[in-house]
Amino acid sequence: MSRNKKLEEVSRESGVEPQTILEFIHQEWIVPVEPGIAEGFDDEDVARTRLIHELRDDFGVNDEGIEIILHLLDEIYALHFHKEP
Amino acid sequence: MNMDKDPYSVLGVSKTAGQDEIKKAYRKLAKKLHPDLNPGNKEMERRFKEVTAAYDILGDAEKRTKFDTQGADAFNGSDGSGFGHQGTSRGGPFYYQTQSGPGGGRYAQGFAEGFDEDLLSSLFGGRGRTARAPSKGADQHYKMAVEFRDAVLGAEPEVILPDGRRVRVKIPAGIETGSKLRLAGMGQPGPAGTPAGDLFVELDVKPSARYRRAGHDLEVDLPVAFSEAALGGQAKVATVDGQVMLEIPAGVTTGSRLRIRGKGALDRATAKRGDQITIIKVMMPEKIDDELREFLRKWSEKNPQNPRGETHVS
Repeated sequence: MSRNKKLEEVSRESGVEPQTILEFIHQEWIVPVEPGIAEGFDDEDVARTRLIHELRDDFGVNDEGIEIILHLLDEIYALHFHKEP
Repeated sequence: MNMDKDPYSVLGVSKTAGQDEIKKAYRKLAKKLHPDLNPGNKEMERRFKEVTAAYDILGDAEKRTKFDTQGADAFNGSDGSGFGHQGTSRGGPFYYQTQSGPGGGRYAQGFAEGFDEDLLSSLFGGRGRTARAPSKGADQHYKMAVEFRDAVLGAEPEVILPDGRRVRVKIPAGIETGSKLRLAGMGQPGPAGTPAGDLFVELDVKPSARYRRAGHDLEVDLPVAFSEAALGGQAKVATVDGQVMLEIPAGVTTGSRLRIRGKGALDRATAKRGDQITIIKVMMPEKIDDELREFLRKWSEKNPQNPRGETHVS
């Protein structure tokens, strides 16, 4: 899995504006693998960015709602895929 | 994509439905079918893609008109857009698909460690990954990868801080893996009236395919032809500053070290740059033809050579 995507690549692959992604980072919804030279994102970040964008723009979820949904999704996936740490 | 399906019936709206109604219908279906809300349910995923593709057309007044007048064929073209494609925004994997497998699920890992925690208290106790929020005014520590060339020559790359701020970080020439930079006042903000903490960035220099760092010198392998090694000549050699012409003395052999002064990394103590050490690697001709074979046979009879000395005698 590629772990050194730049912000611009995340933007291109997810179809979400860089400024919007920076906002997601500010909200701590997206956390780069390592805050680095404007890179350090991976495929998971791309998919998560797209998901947040869909929740906001297609489903009309507000920011508080996003926070709760992401939290629950993280928890569900932890149960689903990482039962044995 | 099943092209027989009519996007109107996929979304369950009439042909005269307004854009608002279409959007509402799409949202309703997408909420139910979104693969991230139904991880692993292939049927739901298939229908979600169908619905998204239908909305790609009907949600866009222009594309909708095109569909209404020209039919589905208008979107079957080689331009790869529209119905039958999945929309430009749906290229990669769904989020849940990035969660399984090695290295996946970074965001979920915060939970994998404490399952006995009460779900609700963790939900309403703040953000999921509270470990990432240090106390106020605290220093922050990060690691950052640096391109090899930037570490040698210095650079000022743009960095995204964890809170989304973009700043330029000055990387001094000559730094090595493990060097730490301090960005004063760039850490967490302090409680009212107190200064912010500092940001410490530990640098991790990426290896280069071409250069090896040896102190302040850079080592580079230089393949030379058998004949160049024997007869000498000139060769273009890459350095971190660009190409230079290097004089190859006659009679060099594999392992010979030719020094190009001042093309290494900066020695901060002396403010002088190290050298590039070009290490010769003699390459045999790709094809040994009869002429060369005959010549070498005669030549070696008269000039016996034992480069191994006694080292490989058992």
